[in-house]
Amino acid sequence: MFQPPLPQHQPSTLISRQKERVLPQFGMKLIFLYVKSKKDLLQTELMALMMSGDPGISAFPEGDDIFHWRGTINGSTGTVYAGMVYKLSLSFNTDYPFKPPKVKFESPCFHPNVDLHGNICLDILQDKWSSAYDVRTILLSIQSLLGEPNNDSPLNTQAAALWSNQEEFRKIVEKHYRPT
Amino acid sequence: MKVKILQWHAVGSWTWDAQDETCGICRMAFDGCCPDCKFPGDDCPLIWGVCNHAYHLHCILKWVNSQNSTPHCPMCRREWQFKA
Amino acid sequence: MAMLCDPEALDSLSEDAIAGILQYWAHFCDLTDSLLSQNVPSCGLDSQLGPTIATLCDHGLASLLQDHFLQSLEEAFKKSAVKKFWQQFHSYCDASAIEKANFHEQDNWPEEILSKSLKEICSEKRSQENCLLVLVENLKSFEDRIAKRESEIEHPSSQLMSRYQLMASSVLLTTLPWDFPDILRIYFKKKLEELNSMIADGDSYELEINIHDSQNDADFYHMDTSMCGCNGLVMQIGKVVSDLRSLGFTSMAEDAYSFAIFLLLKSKVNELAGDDYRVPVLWSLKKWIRAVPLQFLHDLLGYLGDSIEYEKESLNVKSPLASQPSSFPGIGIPSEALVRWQLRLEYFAYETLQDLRIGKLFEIIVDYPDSSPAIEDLKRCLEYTGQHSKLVDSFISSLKYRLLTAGASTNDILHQYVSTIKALRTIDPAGVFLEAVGEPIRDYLRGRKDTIKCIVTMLTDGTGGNSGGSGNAGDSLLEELNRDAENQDGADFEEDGGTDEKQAWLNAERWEPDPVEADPLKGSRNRRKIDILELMVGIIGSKDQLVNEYRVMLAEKLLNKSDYDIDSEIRTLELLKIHFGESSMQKCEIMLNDLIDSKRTNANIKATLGKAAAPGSEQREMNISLDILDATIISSNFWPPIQEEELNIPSSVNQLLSDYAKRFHEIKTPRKLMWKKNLGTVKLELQFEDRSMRFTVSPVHAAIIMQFQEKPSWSSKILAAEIGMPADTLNRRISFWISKGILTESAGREPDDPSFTIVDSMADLNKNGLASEGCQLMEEESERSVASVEEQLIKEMTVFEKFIMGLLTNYGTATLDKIHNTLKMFCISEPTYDKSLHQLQSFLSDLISEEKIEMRDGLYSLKK
Repeated sequence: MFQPPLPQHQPSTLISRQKERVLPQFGMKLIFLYVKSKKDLLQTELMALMMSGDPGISAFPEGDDIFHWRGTINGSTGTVYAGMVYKLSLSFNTDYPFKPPKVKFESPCFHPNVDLHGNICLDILQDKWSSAYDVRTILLSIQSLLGEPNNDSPLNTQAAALWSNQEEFRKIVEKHYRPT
Repeated sequence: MKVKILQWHAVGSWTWDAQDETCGICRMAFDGCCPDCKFPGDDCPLIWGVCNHAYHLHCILKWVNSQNSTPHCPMCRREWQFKA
Repeated sequence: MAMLCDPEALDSLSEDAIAGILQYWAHFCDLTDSLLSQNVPSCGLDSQLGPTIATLCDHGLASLLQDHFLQSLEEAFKKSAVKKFWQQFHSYCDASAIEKANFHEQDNWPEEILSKSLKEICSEKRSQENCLLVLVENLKSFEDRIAKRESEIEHPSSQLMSRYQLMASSVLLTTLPWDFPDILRIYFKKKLEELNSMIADGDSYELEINIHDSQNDADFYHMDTSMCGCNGLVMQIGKVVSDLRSLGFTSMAEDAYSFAIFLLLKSKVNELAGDDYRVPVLWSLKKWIRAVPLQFLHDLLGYLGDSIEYEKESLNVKSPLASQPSSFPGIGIPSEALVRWQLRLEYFAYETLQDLRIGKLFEIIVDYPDSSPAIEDLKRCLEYTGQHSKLVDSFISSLKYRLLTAGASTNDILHQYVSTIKALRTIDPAGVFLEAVGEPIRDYLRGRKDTIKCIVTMLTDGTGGNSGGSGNAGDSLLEELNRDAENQDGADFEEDGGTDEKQAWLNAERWEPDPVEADPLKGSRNRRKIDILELMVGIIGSKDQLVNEYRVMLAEKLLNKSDYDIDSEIRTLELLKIHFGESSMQKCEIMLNDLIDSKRTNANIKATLGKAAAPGSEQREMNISLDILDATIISSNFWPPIQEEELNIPSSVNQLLSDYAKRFHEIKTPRKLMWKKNLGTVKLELQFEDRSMRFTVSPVHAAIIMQFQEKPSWSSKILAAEIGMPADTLNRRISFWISKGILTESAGREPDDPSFTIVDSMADLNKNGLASEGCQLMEEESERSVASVEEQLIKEMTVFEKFIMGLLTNYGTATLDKIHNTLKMFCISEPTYDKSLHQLQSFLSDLISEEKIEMRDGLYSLKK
């Protein structure tokens, strides 16, 4: 069963980025994070995500609602999804981060673990959820899921069956792809 | 000449001295406080698990209570047990 | 009847008849000449004139003889009386400007000459009138005879007198010298000044000001019909006026005395108002108007017989200044003319005072609130004249000229701004004009770098000015604002409680519509309260910037405290919380809480550690014990960025610090204490052989000077290495001790390595010209402990850029508004997005030129 690597607890990106922002003459690391509610938690995550600058993943709140985000994932090079850009939606509940957010593909994605409605079968979004996951790690997990599907419990059996033929698979992926 | 110090008023900062800097649950700095607290430090203490991962006490309690089955550490998925 | 007025009838007459008529005509002409040459018409002439006139009239020559008579009168009048009259003034009229000034200075000029010549010309005119009356009488008796025959008859003779009057005044006016109106003005001016000083000396009208309540307007007119000694003077003036009137100079005379009255009023306003803004003048001015010019006019019009008009309408002509119709006890009911005069004079007084005050508004506001009486006066004047725009224009130009210049300190500008707000709030509670006046000040302040800092200092620091304010000395502006707000609330409550019918009626009467200049979107004046704090925040742009600046200043202050006394900071924080909300002040609250916790922890550590220290330990030998050490332990996540510097603390102190930290760890396990050794304050005593000196310094300075215990002289580089800081930093910081005369600097072995030596004895010190003092405070030279707000601001834009890129990645495209609103929505902490739409637009333009994004049809997107 596929299980993405848990976040190695390196000093979080948020902190390290903030360090960089400090002018060199202040040697001290500065973190000003005062958060009072779930809303502020998501705000903090947004800030962390914006500052992380991970290539190929991004997300931003939809409209004026901090609980609903739009995500963007670029297919990694060296996979059949290379060059593709997929849109996702992320819905957070008030019990986040104690419960996972609902994540769906909004653009059609031909993939063994993604159904026709965009639902994703990924354990960390279900029973293997941990409050240590955040938007960034979720998006990174989905990005790696694209290249490393779990063919044992497919949502799209056609895709699972075809996975072994990467050339053919790429064609179908391209056929399904709707650029934004 | 001799120097007699009458008073030395020093400045220092406290730290929880955790390995990491932020709580894996609330993403807040350990030396800050969890989302439910107003003041850091004594009011919002840190707690370590036997796996040596630290969280704000208030955060890990919420996580543990939110789990239906045996609670595990959000970081390493080992069974969560408070370190004595 | 037709014959009477038709000279053509002569055509039908015989030659004899014509000769007879001519004879009569010649006789009439002779009679006319002799009549006019006499001063008093004699009975003999009269008896001859009657038949002659009758005969000529019978032949229809009535109008001809009237014309002749008038013409003769005119020639005589012109030749003698008028010529003589104007001759009296020739010497003045022909004089040069300088000579004229000499005339003005003569006491009895032009009074003497004017009244004399007026008397002469008037008596001349009167005798002419008498002559005319003779003619009129004769014509009348003729006409009466005719009237018996014919029922409808007009009396041409009745118009004769008015034709004469017209003739007389036109003769005078056509020969009028240019300077005559001036002479009249000077005459009235001198007379009125005389009258004014008589009233001022005799009547103590000014003393009554305090007795009378401004409500009681009816009592105010304490005029007597007899104006004590002034009556004679008024009669003199009245005589001149009536003479002038009889010569047809009615309007010229009125112009002249009006001019003089207004001139006098103007100088009275200037005299009363002056440069003292601490006394109200409006009331005494009104009082004076009634006591002098109005009383004069009342008496004058009475003398002239004009004013006794008991017109009912005049009751309705109400002075807007007086709540009741003005009453003049001398007359009972004021004549309309007098009421008009009162209105004119009061308007003029208000306008003059207003202009005077507006011209000096800048100084008045500098003196505010001492000058509030002047402001109150100005308010009333403006209410009456409605010339608020004059105030705005004039004040803005004096602001630009006198305040908004490079020479004025930001503090001064801010204090003047606050005084302006307070003063104009009185004049214009709706804040409409304040808006206009404040704009240039705000714009200017926005261009100054230290504005935020000065505002925060003024708001929170009791020593930051507020001299002579309503509050106690040493109060911060914030404190004052809060007290004002509390007083306001109290007053409101009282008003609510005590509203009775009368009060409600008064309130209703006081209601006024918003001025037309008011922006209807801003609500009614009642709901619109002028909030000084809001206006201050308005200069800065956002409350977050103000709060952030305050936090930096608070950090600086707290880190330099040598005790834990934060009462005033707590008070300020509470006040700021009221205005800016608790969550905005959260970090500051944690900072203060750190001080409170530190005090407790400090006591705890010292109590437990003191016990543990063994007697006769190393520390005691070194003459320092834990007693001297105190610590402020901060939650650094909530403090502004702290400046850290490497520093080697003397080992004895260092030992204390690590003991202290160890104890902290024991008490607060697993928390640890990390020292910021360059921060804090040190009180120390330098003990020399012959004296000792006390200083409060930073740890760096302490570390430096303590090195000189071991060695009286150090080279810069070696000392720097010892203390653990760069040599150039050391050289900068050590100048403190040099400036105190404790150390001297001398050239070292190498050019860039000076050496420093302790000045050991008093004699050496005195040589340096520095007196020793028991205690000296740390100088401001010390470096800041906290990074400034500007330094923090630089970092912001990077964050905003990342947000914009993230937004565009997921949205594809977005309008300027969308980006602005989204940043406002989600970029709300560290840093907070507080830019204007315009600022964002120029930032986006930068990103476009950096080829990071592009814009098409108002939609921004990522550069592909």
